Amino acid sequence: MKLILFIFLAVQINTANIVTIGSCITQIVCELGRCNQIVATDKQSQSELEQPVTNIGYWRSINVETILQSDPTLILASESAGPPRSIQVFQSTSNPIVLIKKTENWDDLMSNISLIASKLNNSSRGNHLIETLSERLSKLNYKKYQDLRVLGVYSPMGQRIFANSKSSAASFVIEYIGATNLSEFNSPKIISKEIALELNPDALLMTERTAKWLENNKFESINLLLKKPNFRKIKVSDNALSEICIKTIDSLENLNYE
Amino acid sequence: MLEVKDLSVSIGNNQILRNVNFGFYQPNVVGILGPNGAGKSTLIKSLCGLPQYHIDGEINILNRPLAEWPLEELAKFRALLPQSYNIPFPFKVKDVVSMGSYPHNKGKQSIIDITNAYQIMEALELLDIREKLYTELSGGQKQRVLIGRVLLQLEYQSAYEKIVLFDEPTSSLDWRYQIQVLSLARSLVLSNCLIFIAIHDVNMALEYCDTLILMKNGELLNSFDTAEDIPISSLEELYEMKLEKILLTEDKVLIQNRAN
Amino acid sequence: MNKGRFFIFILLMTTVLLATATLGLIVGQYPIQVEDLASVWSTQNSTAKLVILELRLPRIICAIFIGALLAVTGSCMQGIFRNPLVEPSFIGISAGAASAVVLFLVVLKPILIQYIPLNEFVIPCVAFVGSVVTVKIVINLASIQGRISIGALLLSGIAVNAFCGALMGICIYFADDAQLRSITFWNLGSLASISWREVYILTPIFIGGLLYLFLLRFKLDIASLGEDQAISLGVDMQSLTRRVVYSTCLIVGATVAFAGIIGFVGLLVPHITRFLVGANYKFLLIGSALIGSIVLLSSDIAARSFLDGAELPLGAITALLGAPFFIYQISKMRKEII
Repeated sequence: MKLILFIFLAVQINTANIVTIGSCITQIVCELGRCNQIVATDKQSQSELEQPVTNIGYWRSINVETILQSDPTLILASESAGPPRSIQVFQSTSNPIVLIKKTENWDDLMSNISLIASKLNNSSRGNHLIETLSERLSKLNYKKYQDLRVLGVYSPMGQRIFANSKSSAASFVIEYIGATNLSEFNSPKIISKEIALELNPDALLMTERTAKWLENNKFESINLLLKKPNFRKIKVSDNALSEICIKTIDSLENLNYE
Repeated sequence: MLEVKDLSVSIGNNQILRNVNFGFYQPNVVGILGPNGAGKSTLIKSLCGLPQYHIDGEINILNRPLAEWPLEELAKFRALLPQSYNIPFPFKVKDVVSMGSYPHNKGKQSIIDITNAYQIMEALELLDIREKLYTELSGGQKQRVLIGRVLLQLEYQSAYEKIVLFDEPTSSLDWRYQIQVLSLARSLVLSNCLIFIAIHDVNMALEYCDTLILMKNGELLNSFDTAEDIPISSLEELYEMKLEKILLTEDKVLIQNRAN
Repeated sequence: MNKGRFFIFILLMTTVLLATATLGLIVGQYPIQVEDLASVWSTQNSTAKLVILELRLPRIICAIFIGALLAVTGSCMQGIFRNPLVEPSFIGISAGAASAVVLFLVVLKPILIQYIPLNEFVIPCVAFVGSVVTVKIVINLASIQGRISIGALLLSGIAVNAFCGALMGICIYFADDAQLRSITFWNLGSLASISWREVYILTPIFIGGLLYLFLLRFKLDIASLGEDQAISLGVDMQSLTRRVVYSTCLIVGATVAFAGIIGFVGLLVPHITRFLVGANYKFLLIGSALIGSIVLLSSDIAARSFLDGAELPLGAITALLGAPFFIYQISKMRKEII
């Protein structure tokens, strides 16, 4: 009888209802081994999970009631999740919501991992993850990308083509592979033909999804670049470039260079 | 009652009326004759105090300059039957008639207001249709309703002199209704009203009006105190046509195009 | 429609409104039991209490306020324009407010935010200023020597609407993801960001606005006769037009500030109400307020309950209801002309 009670209690402590808002946060929670405790997440993060869970909407316009319906014990939300009023509602109540800063660099990622791990009562595993990731990064050795002038680009819906900002995940990747990052923009910038000619990259870094859009050849500025001899495309998986996160590190080890 | 001195009226940069002068001091039916564009409507509307008309000169209504009349006060003594009878919303006939009492009660209907409206509708044979929607009426019926509105507006100051303005009331109506409105205008004289009618039908003007004013190109050509005495030459000058006057009876004439 | 029948109408509509409001408290993504609602103050279920009191109740109240205000201002605009196919957005109020906000978000905020912290209260103020500026421009364009011409007012409204649309289009082109989200919110309307604070701000606008416009009811009746007759009856049309337009601007500017652009309520509701209670403004204004509240409240309940995880934009629902109705009205008018 006591054994059953003990097991029952043990299971209760480890069974949490976690809600994540933001794909990087979801990635981190999964890397820390608590993927199966996520009961609801935003639309973009659904692809991070093996099986889809309750969808709370686009991370910038979440549905509060859907979150509450999942009976959360912990809500890990990105700082820029919205609408702001909804986040405020959670903060004013007894629901435990933790706001996570957007990762703009490696240090941010490290501190976020620590923060999330501590909220999951598993700081040691968090530290372990940090060590592992640092190790993997240090092993990266991309001589072939040195002196390569690379520009990170993305096209959200195939309508326009943007250059990533200098604090984006794309810039992070380019710098880590030792190439020259051509982006000096504070925020994403539309690539016109003039900008393309002025920057004159040797290669473009993009996700698979953006690559598909480029195949339609509708962007004149990109077509100009593609015509250059020896022009290359560096492709990574989707979700790797939205924020500097685990998938970004994964992609660094799996660059598709063509 | 109504005096106009050196009146010039312009809208924006267009001068429409020039140096118009007349004065009427007794209840009377005054017909304003003239071809299109003569300024008949403009004269009527400027007597109303509509803001888009820029007025030079003097207009004295009931011994007071128009500019000194507060709009709400003037509304108790001066009514307008317009050219267009269109109301875009489904008001009931009785509601439209009741609008005439607005200058006196600011919209709040008392027993007196309701009684007055009822009597006027009775006189105009509107009682049967008083619950009908104005938008469903024929042109002639709409005109009767608006006349009812005008009569109600003037009802409260029966002892005083009043001014009634009819802007081309015969333009787009059946002959029967044209006669109806003009007969009514005549009967208003008995209620102390000075009636101004802008009219384009010469013969009707001659039959129903006491005084005639002839207007052309924004100017007053002539005025005649007795409609029957109007010389044919004045009308020919006004309409630039050859005309002839036919004597029907002792006091009735008919003006016709002279066939040559 | 006499006073007695109107009283019954009010009773009926108020009942429907209250029933809809109660439905709104129960229906939603988070399941609420009727028992929770009945004992909402003392319930142990704190999440249910949060959902009912902090999420749904303020939203329901705002839907009622905004629905009533949009319908009443629509009725008044139709009165002074003498056209049943007119609503406040036609003179550029909503577009002006929304484009001011979009301009602010895409152009000014990225610059200003480096120097001063901006809280979300700035946005409603920007919307408000935008609507007032736009209306002032529209009125100035339509005034000749101090006199407002109704036809010119509508034309200037079209021009300003087009300009604001173009401005927003340019901003959308340069917007990033986050800004796009906000812009979509303004364009399509939503009550998702409503909390008690918005209710407090809207309450005086609701009470004051409705009272002010209700006082104009007799003048609005007279205005239906046409400018000439109205003036001859002692109603100063210039003053009335100014009063209606400016108060509509303030009222609708405030609603855009909190809920984005919600169209067609000002067009659709007065029509329905006229059919039910007649054209007299003393019945029309009250009736429109009630029916407007019911329409917007129902639309909002539908907006937040239909889809799982997402909300349908409120403006899209009112447009889905209103546009076919608008088309039907036009086709009916065409038949009359032909």
